Amino acid sequence: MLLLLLDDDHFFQHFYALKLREQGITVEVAGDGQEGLEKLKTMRPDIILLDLIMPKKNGFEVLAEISSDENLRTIPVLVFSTLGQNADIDKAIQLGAAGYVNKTFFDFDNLLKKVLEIVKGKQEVATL
Amino acid sequence: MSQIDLSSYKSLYIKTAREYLEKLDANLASLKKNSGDLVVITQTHLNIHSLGSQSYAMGYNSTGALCQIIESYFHFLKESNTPFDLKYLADVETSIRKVRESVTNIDRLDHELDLSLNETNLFEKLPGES
Repeated sequence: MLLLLLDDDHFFQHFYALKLREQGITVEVAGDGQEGLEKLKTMRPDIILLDLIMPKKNGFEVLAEISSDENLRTIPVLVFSTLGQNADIDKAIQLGAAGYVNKTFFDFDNLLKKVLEIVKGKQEVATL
Repeated sequence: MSQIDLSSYKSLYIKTAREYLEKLDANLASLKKNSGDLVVITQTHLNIHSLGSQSYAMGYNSTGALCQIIESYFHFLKESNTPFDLKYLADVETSIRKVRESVTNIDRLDHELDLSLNETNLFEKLPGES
């Protein structure tokens, strides 16, 4: 599985990339929204893990661009942020996010479960 | 929720926290010269947000809470395109200094400082979302 992690926080980047790689997942990291969208021109991840508060392009802007691009919109996006207000979660879901996890809780099991569920669900749809 | 040994991430926390604190010092120095610089205000919001988030994540909740008060103020400035009011400079600088002291304490003694009084004082002073 190839996962694109978009997060400007070095601390969270390091922690989550390490934990995901321990699970055998190939992780590519981008440090802001713009860099993430650039990477998507040359790679096709199975899932995107997206922070919301980032420089250059924030997570909402990235989601909007992914949703409006017919080549990218089928890549599932799991929002991964500290913004926990319902309005932000609803906004992300409306923009096409497949789910939301709060990254500061360090609930890695929950994150991994959601990543696997979303990717498995997408593969099942693709084989129908 | 699985138990993760966060102690192995302490050195990464200290390293990145100090990087954010240096950036915050530079941002405040820039805002002294141009208090309406939206790029610096946005950068300050991002830096203090990152520092607060990773503090909460590590369980340093008092440090995270003080960061969150500053973050809310800079989020308000960013969203309302309002210049940084220099009358709050000393309070923000004091708060950042207290956060730095807490990070130093975490590094040396493995526990954060209780910053709840600073948090209350700053919350009462700053306008906007806080």
